[in-house]
Order: sequence, then structure tokens, then C-alpha cells
Amino acid sequence: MLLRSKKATLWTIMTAAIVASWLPYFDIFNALIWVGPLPLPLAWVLSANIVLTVCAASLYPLYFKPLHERMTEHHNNQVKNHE
Amino acid sequence: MNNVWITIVILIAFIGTFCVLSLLASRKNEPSIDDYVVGGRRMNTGLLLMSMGATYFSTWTLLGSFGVYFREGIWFAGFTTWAIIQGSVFIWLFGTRIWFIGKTYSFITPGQMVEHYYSSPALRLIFSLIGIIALVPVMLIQVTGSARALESLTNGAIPYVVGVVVTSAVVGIIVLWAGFRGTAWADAFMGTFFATILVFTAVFVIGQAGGWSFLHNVAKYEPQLLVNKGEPVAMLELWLGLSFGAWALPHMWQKFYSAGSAKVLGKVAAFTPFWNSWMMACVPLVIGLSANIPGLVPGAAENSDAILPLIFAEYAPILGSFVVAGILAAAISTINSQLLSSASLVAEDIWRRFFDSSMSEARLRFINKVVICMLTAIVLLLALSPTGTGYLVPVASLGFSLGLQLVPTAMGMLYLSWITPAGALAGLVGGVMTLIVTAITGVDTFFGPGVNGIIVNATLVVMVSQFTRAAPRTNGNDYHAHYATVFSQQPPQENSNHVFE
Repeated sequence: MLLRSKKATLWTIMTAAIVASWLPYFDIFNALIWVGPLPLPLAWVLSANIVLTVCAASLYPLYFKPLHERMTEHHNNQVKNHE
Repeated sequence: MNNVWITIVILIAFIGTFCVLSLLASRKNEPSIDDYVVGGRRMNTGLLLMSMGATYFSTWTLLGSFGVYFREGIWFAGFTTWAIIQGSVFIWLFGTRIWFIGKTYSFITPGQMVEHYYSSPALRLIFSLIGIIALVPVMLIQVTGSARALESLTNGAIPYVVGVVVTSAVVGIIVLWAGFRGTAWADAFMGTFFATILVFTAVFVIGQAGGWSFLHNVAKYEPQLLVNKGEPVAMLELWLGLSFGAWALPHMWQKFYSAGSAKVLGKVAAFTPFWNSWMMACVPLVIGLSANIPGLVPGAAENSDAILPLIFAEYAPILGSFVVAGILAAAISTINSQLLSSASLVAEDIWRRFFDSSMSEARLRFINKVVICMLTAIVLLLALSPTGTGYLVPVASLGFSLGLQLVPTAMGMLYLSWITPAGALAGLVGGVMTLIVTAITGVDTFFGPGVNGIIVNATLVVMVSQFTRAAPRTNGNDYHAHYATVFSQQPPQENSNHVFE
């Protein structure tokens, strides 16, 4: 998958997870039904949080690492030009 | 030896430990203002992660958030989600750009960036003043919260006044002594300490509440707390204030400046959800909800902001001393960064900028230390006044709501190049005035004061920016061109003069 597609996928999933975490506030997935030890609205929000946590971890390889590499490369070029 | 004396001995040992730790860390300090205020921009991942986490989470986490879960139930679970976004996505969206510009131009305060970009000393002054005023209530709740817990746990043997004086004095001394690096190490130590207490308490409470089915037991008595009561507007207000306003507050802004590299920021963003959400937001949820089981936490209904001390007072009075130390740790780890930040704003953005522009670095450091003493005294006096008491969350929200008003001005520097200096100034003044008027009058509007303020703020920014001129771009202050070079996938321009490392 191209980097651009990966980024688009990441932001789509992240947006969907944020929207999903709000659904119980609008009485959707908000009944006192048990999902294992958790009530449905809490299970729903925590599931969205798991997705968001994975997305947050994905920011590093998709954004921060390439940024660091670009800046290092540019810095090295500047040093070379200066010499 | 009775429990009060055990508590006092443990507190003295605890305070002594982090004073020594701060002193050892400060031995690496260099005699520059850059080093004193932003740690020489060399913070590593572990230190920055712990420092940002310990700064964001405070006595409110150990006191107020337990109470909110106790009263409001899982309605407050939105807290766990915004803690992830605030700690990771916002670091990428805002933190990296702030870090990059700060490093390029060697800024130590947000106000320097504001004046450089907008070419407006007035905007810098107001931005800094609002930042300082926003930090005061947040500093205040740290002091009052820890003092109240101290009093509660010792049944009044250590009075509120003594707690307030001890907390203020310790914070003042540490910040004065150790600067940014020392406070960051103290944060890391204290963050680890109070996280340990939280985990220990959660495991204990789950055991007492019936094991993994503890929420079934809660449902027997308070089933309404296990469904979301709705009120999305109230949650939106909290999201905006506590999450979207937090990154723009000066002490968090300066944390971004302090990062050693983009990689450091990235690793902090990747690990923060585990610390911010799964630890600091979920543990209070478990304990706060469990406290609704009758008899589990006697006195919780009357004093829900003191659930944690009450648990230890009931089950393990001797270990309760460590809880008091943990609450003190949470308070100090938040207030020290805010105090250092506020002092640097007064010294650099007000004193040096408007009264003594030729001030030497040595004198600036001295002025910083004088201001630290003055602000410590102000917080101490406020904490001893009747207005310093009351529920914790509304007070803290006022500070974060003020921080929220800084966001549109900051967005002009980071993303929205069409925002003009006059637009930013009009929005900032209008937003803060609206916030203050609605907060003081208590007028009943659809939104609360913070959101009312940001709506007026954003509207004024858009309208005034349509009819006013952009700031001149003659002194290398075209940040958006810099971002296009560095943050896009395009190869960097050859004539760029950025400072990279």
C-alpha cells in the first residue's frame, strides 16, 4: 500500500473511532446489556479506545520517522554545502 | 508511633527524595536561560513522556476524576478517549510544528513565537497574560487538593493551612533550584510513584468489589451509572476545554520546545495513550464506579472528591501515608511546570520585552527566580482564601477554558495562514471577555463559558481577518513556507536556512 493510502486509511479509521466513541451520548449502543464484565456503552467506548491507541502508535512510522529522516538529510546537505 | 507521625515521617522522606533527585538533575544544568526554561531542548523520550503525563494529570486525577466517575458514572468515560487524542494526535498536529519553529528560532516562550509571526507586540502581551492567568486556577487546585487530602487522611491532625504551606514551599524551592531539567526528573519520579499507587489501589478495590464482575455489583445498587446519561454538549465542552485547550497552555507548549528531536516527540506520541488513557483515565473509572457499592468506601457520598484517601483511611491507614505522598506528588509534578512556565512568561514576554530589552541572560535568569517566588506567594495566598476551595473540576475547567481561547491565535501560526494579527487580537480579546462575562454572571446559555468564548473568538477571527492586513513577511517569519518545505514530501528548498539536528 502506498504511504499516502496508509495515511488516508489511518485518518479514516481514527475519525470513525472518535465518532463511534460518541454514539452512547446519543443513546446508541447505550443499553445496560452486558458484554462480558462490561456494560455495553463502556465496552463500546473502550473498543474505540483500543482502535485509537493502535492508530496513535501508527503515527510514529507514518509521520514522525519520515519527518526525522527528512530533517536529518536536509541538515547533512546543509553541512556538505557549507564545507 | 501513631499514624499521623508515620505520615509525617513518610512525607519528609518523600520530599527529601525528590529534592535530592532534582538537585542531582540540576547539576547538569548550563548557565543559560534556554537550559533553565526548556531544558536546553535535549529532553529524551522517557523523561518527556513522564514529564508531560505527570504535568497533565494532577491532583484532579487522584481526587476530582474519582469523584466525577462516582457521581456521573460511565458518562465520563469520554475522558478516556480524549486522553488518547490529546496525548498523541495533537502532538503530531501541533507539537511538531511548535517544536520545529521553537528550535529554528530558539524561542523559549509561546509569546516570542506569536510576536515573531504576527509582528504584534500587543498580541504577544495579551497571549502571555492570558496564558499566565489560565495557569493560576490550575496551580491553585493542586495546592488546595493536596492540602485537603492531607487534612482528610489525618483526620485534621495536619490542618489544611499546613498542607497548603508545605506544598507551595516545596514547589517553589524545587523550581527555583532545579529549573526545567530538575522539574522533569522530579515529574518522572513522582509520576511513577503515583501511578504505582493507582494500580495498587485499583487491584485492591476490584478485589474488594467482587473481582472482575465488580460492575455487576455496581449495577445492583446504581444501574443508572452504567448507562450513558447523554448530555453530549456538556461532554463536548469538557473535550474542548480539557483536551483542545490543553496543548495551547504555555507549560505544555514549552514541553514541545524541550524535545530533543522529532523522533522523541513521535515516541512520546506513541506511548502516551498507555499512560494518559489506560492508566490515568481508566483506573479512576474502576475505583470511582466501585465506590458506589454500599460500605466499600464509607463517606464517599459526602466527600466524593476524597475517595482515594477514604479508601486508605478505611482499609490501610498506615499505607495511607503513601497516598498522601502520591497526592502531593501529583500536585507538585503539575504545579512545578506551570510555575516555571508562568515565571518565564512574566520575565521574558513582559519584563524583558517591554521594560528592559537589553537585559542579560544572567539577569533574565535572576528575574525568572524572583517571579517564581512572587507567584508561589500569590498561589499560597489564594489557596488560603475562601475562593480557593470548592469543587475541583469547575475551577480547573476555567483555566483550561482560558487556554482554549489561545487556540485560534495559535492555529494562525500553525495552519491557518489567512488569520491576520488584528483578527487574532480581536478574537482573543472577544473570546476571553465572553468567557469572563458568562462565567461571572452565570447566565444560562446553550453552551458553557468556555465554548461561548471560543465561538465568539473564532467568529471574530474569521470576520476581522477578512478586512485586515496579514502580518508582513520580511523577517523570516513565513512559518507556512517552512512547514511546506519540511512537513511535505517535497524535497527541501536549497535556500532554506532552518536549524536542523
